[in-house]
Amino acid sequence: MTASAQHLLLPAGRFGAPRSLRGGAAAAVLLALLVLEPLPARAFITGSVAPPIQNVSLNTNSTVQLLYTMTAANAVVANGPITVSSTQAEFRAGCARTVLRTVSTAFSSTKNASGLAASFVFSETVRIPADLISAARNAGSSELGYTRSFTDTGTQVPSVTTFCATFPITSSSAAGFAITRIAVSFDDGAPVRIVGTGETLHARAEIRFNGTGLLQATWEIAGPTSTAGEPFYRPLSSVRQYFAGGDRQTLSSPNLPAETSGLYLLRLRITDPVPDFEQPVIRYFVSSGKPGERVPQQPVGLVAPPNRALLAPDTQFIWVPIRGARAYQLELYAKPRLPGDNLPDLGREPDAAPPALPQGPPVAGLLVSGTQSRASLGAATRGHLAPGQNFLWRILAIGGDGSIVGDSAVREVRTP
Amino acid sequence: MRTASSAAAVMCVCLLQLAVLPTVRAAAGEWTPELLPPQKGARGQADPILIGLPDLPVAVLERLTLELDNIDVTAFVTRDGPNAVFTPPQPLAFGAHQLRLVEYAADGSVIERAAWTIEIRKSTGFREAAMSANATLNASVRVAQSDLAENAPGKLQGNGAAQLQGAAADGNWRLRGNGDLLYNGQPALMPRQEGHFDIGRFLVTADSGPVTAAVGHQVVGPESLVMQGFNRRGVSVGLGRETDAATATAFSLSGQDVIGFQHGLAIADSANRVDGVSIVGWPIPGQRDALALSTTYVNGEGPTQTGAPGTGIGSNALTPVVAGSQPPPPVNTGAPLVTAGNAANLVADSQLIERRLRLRGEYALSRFDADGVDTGNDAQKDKAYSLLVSFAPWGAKTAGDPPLSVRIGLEYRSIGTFFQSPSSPAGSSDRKGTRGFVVFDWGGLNLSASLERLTDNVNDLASLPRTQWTQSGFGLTYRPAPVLAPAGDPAQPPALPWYGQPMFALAFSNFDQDVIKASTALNAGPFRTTRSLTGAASFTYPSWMWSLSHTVGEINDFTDATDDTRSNLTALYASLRFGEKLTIVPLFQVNRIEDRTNNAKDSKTLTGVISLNYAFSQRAGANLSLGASRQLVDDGSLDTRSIDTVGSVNWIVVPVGGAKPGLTLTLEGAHHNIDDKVNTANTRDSYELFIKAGISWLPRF
Repeated sequence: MTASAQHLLLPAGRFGAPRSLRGGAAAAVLLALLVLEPLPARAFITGSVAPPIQNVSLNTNSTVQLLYTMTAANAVVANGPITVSSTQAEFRAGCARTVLRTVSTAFSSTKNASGLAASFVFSETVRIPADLISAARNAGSSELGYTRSFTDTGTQVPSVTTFCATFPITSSSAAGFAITRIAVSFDDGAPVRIVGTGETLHARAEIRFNGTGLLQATWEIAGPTSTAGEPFYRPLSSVRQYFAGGDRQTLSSPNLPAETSGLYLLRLRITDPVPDFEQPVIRYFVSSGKPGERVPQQPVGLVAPPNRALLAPDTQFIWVPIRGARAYQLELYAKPRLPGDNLPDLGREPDAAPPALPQGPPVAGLLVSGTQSRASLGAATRGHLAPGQNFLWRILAIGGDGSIVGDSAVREVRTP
Repeated sequence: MRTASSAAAVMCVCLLQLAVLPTVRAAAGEWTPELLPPQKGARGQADPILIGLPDLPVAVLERLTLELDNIDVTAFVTRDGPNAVFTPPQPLAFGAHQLRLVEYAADGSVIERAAWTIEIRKSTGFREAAMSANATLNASVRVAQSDLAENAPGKLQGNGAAQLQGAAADGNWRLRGNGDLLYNGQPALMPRQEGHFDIGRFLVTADSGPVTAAVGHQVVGPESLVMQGFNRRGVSVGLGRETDAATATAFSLSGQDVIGFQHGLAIADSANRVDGVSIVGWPIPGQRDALALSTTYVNGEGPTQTGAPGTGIGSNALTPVVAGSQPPPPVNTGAPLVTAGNAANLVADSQLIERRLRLRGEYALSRFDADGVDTGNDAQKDKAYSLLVSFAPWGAKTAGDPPLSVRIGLEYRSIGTFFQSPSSPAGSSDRKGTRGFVVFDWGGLNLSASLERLTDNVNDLASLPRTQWTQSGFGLTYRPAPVLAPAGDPAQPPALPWYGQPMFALAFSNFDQDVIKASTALNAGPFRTTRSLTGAASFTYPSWMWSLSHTVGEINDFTDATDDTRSNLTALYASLRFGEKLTIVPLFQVNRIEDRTNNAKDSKTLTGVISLNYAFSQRAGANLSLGASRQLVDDGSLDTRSIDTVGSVNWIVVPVGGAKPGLTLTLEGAHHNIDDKVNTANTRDSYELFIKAGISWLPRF
């Protein structure tokens, strides 16, 4: 750097200096101004970097999108070309402190001045590895500085101007809102499923994030009507959800289509904040049945109890009978818990679809004649249901030949 | 019921029919039923099961219940002389089944009169021996198209899948396996985006006595701070039965999630593997709920945060690409970050007073190198612990007629700043605080509330700020019990009123975060808040439902690092079935986000999806789905409209049945229209139309 033509520009940003910017960046810039040689009489590049400050998480990689907006003035020739370029950037332990790493990404743009000045905008994706954050801490700093110097040519006095964005190091809860991990799977945890035609299927996305913000995303699917050629993704539903405290959250998909045989591709496309990694796609294949058997053909309508009802000794399970049923089997399954959830179900998300039935046999149930359309659980059956728990239940219709000829939707019931 | 029933009365509602036995003799005290041996030497899947009963008083017979695998099957018990006979309406699966005869005592208690294990044998050689498959192969030809990408695949394409299951068992051993196979003519659509043929997930388990072994994708050990949602390919060996005082499982699993024909069992590479052992014990004999102790130790290395292509996992735990002189791509394509470490824990879990009181405590230690092996800092040690108490004051209590349930709880947790486990890739860290909650149920009324206060910078690092946040939630759901109208036809159930089964819900959440210890970059004081309020109502009928919800929310950033916004989301959803032929499922969502910092960035999103399914007959049907969306930002940075139409007409030429393959012909297509007024390069109007022949096969051996 040639100090005679150099100065650091306080990154004012579009919103001005943040109210809580206690002086981290500002002090660093001031310090830099003091240690550098006097500024030239006139700055030829003026502008800002946005965001000027962005908290980054201590333990994870971070990505920040920077936007440099600047004007280069005093062209040699009115309306003549001005070139602004930058050959590299530097990570520092603070804006004017030790250089920790150099980033060789270069920018250059030439524009004809409008009169004597030309405006430039550069966008940069800055990836901050976790080990660099460790290095800043080891250097005794509570923040990282990212400096980039721009030079102008085609002006009367070529100059070098340095911009600095500050990345204070915080916990994940105080960091800028960012997605750090997405794990999309079907409700049995697998990223690949083979299901029968018409089977009920859901997916879930476990999202690990930093900070607090509003997540905007869309569940999208490409089905056999396009995956035999060029896949066209179409929306299934939009997601707008507040994420807070830099933790993890699980989103459930709507019912997934399974009406036509073939390959389906599913993704949760997050549009804000856009992750800087490739967003995953999972897939399922709809075939004609389950191994060795066709899937039920007739839906069994449910009358009572409503979803998430509290089970009482006299709770009546009521359904609409279907043709050809010799028997109905009421089955109750323990509701699977999400990973890491040791707390009782607090009853949130009243609209959420019940999860898929777990693998394995039911924990309790009741077999009744095909002439019946209601039943209640006896004490012995209720004895299999642990108190204070949530269970999933459904009705299976068994035909005269012993095959399953119908099934109901899955509902949830809770024990006192 | 006390009149003699005829032998033709095959089914009954309960063992009341046994009460018609002409002789009423034995006292109700001590008696023992007898499971009669199968008539043909081995039990068949549909063979009746006979239980010999002594002469019992009618009152006792009326109180008997028969359970098969915890299913009350009393309704399918008939009498045959002195015997009770259960005839399964559905063939029983091969293998062992638990049969239990219980009596409801006069005082309301349940007495287990007998419990047996019966065996349904496939043959004399094997108790269980079965293989089944679900295979489909589709061949499609594109008969019409418009505006497809230059690299669009050829007109003739094929895809298919097969689901395989198998089991064999005899004596005290059992072998089970399942796996998914995939085929696609386009390698880009395969999970790993290469090849034409691959395997999805698979799992083979074998057990013999107390020893169990599993190979393939699996979840091992109990969920805890050191192991959460860790579903990986690998090998595990377990020792101990469910009824033993202790069980132990040793495992070796892949660090990075993998799929497909690669890496074998995923345990050969020690630099990409997590090894561990988990032990669970129940030290109080006969009271397993009273205390369960578990411990888990894991040690591993590898890109555990990430998944290989096709595993559904995306992560920013990637090595940044060295950009060189060119700007880096918008999506990081760097190599997965390799981390390493170990963790161990001890958990005590107790459920007392008829499971109404739960006490759980966990202490865990970890030593983990999170910023990459051989880079940055060395591995760092840390600890975490949690304590949970929850209590339901009453068991079966009613207030008026409806049941009443209350559960209250308190949880304290402290997870160190650097606590991380190789087998908990999404686990929390760096938070400490308390959470209290209450859940109240009375009839159809459910009320839940929780309040949590947490702080970060648990390890009190001097240079870092500390924030504290309070997160509260309140939910109120009301499902009134409608009066059911008796049906005229006794075979039909009572009907719901015209408004169906209603559900009304209100949910509120609040998040307040403050900086309580300043740093060079953050002042002490208010930091961020978010609030959201959702109101929802749904109305459910046996064959259809509809719901409406509206959510308002806002976020405020007092540091002005990000914009303050307010959002409104309205959603209308329905699922309507008309008879047995037509189903219509519409969804409409309207979302508006108001940027209160910069009004020019207000945005609006509209999404509408409607799907129709019509069955012409049992062998022919049609599907149509129309999806439209509109996205607009006031500053003009986004202005798109998309309309997607997909449809198909299916004809089952030959129905699939057992070993007989089926054939289905389909005409299907998709129309994809995007109008992007900002990035006009994205604008396109494309369609594809295919004729497809699908062969299905569902063999069972």
